[in-house]
Amino acid sequence: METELLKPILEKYLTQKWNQKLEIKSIHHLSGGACQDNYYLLVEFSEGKSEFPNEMVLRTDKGASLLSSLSKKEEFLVAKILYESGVKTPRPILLEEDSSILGSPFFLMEKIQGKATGRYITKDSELNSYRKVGMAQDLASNLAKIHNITPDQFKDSSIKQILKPMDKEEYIPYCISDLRISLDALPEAHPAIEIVLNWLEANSPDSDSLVLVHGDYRTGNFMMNPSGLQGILDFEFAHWGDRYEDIAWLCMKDWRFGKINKEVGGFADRKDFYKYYEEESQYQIDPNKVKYWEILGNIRWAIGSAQQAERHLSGKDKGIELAAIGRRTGEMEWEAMKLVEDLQNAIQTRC
Amino acid sequence: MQYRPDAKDLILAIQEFLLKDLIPKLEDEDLLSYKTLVSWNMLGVLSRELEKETDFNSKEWKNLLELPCGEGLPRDINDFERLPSKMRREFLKEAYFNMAKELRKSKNSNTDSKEWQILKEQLQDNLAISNPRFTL
Repeated sequence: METELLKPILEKYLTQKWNQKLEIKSIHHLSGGACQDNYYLLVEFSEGKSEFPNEMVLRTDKGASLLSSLSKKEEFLVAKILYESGVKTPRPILLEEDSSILGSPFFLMEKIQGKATGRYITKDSELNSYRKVGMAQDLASNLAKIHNITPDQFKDSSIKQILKPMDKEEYIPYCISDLRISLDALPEAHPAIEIVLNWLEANSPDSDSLVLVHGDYRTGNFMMNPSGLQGILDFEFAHWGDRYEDIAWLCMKDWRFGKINKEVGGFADRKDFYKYYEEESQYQIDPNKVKYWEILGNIRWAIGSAQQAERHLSGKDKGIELAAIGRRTGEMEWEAMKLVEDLQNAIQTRC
Repeated sequence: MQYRPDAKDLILAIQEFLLKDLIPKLEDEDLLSYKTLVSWNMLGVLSRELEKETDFNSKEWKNLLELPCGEGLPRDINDFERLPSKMRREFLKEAYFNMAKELRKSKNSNTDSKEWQILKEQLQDNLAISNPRFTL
């Protein structure tokens, strides 16, 4: 929706909702993900003070969201749980499920400072000292805090069901089957994905107890400034899953933004990140399991990128950025095949 | 066609316009600036595809012919290369569909198999078009 149209609608809605006079002094579209629309709001309350912040972000779906993503209500609930558990993330403020207001449900959260772009996080000199000391530790410990949340803590809550609980033994077969379903929905064939899925099926490790998984924990979803981590964003893919999914996802080559040797998100070495994660979680990381999930992650992202291109090609949601992502599918396919070979070689050498 | 500029030159002209004239004017427009850069990059893909696609398709044809999935392909390289580009792509698309179906059925995951090697080779060629800076 155009911001000129959005402003009066939101002013009226928020005034009624919060029962206080307010004016939106500034509103603009923020560059964000391919599936979400994010808008910056600067609100002035006529009585001066309010329990709500002046700067907020409005988050809503952009056209068709990806099949596996949470609804706005579910994403809001997850963000609330995490915020209350001490994970560094923006304070969720308000959820509106009624689509008649803006065309689809939305929520408001506190606006935090900083930038999240890959180039800024991995290369900008402004972050040099934080990158040397603090960045890996903050991101590892926050990830461990997310993983400390388990399904048992939500006995009768709807959130337990929303995030798809299952037995740990079923989890990897479920992931592989889910990927095959997504693959079959694409109009083109991906034999490279097929052959790697066969490998993943034949070589799956044991799953650990399922925990809350962010689902998109990567460079690009961390807001930072020279003072450090300001907040972790985007919980639309959260679910009960294997902690290695998140650890491996962050290590994938595509999220290193050219800093190939910094294997964790383009900003840290694996050994440091693992150490900080282990300290917070009291859980010892198995590097081979990370590799397995990195292969699976690359396949997931290969399918995800082909799905995004399909959104463009089908006309559901047009955009150059969606079309462009489709041509990157081969990068993840290549990487998955290379990682299979590396892992096999490493195991053979050890034997 | 004898007229100039040819397709590659036109693409280059658009790329130069985006980079030199447009992007500097979009300093405060993060989203537009990002989309313009993506467009510039995609024009590069187009340019390389124009240059390499025919050779690339012929190599794919040769590789796929060695596998059961290539049964429906024209047997002679000259017959294949004489086809319009759209038809060549259709033939290859069909062969890849067959290959994916066979892999699902056979559960083949052998890294020494012909399929594995051919797929890697095809990806390598593909990446030379879509992102030559990708580290293999």
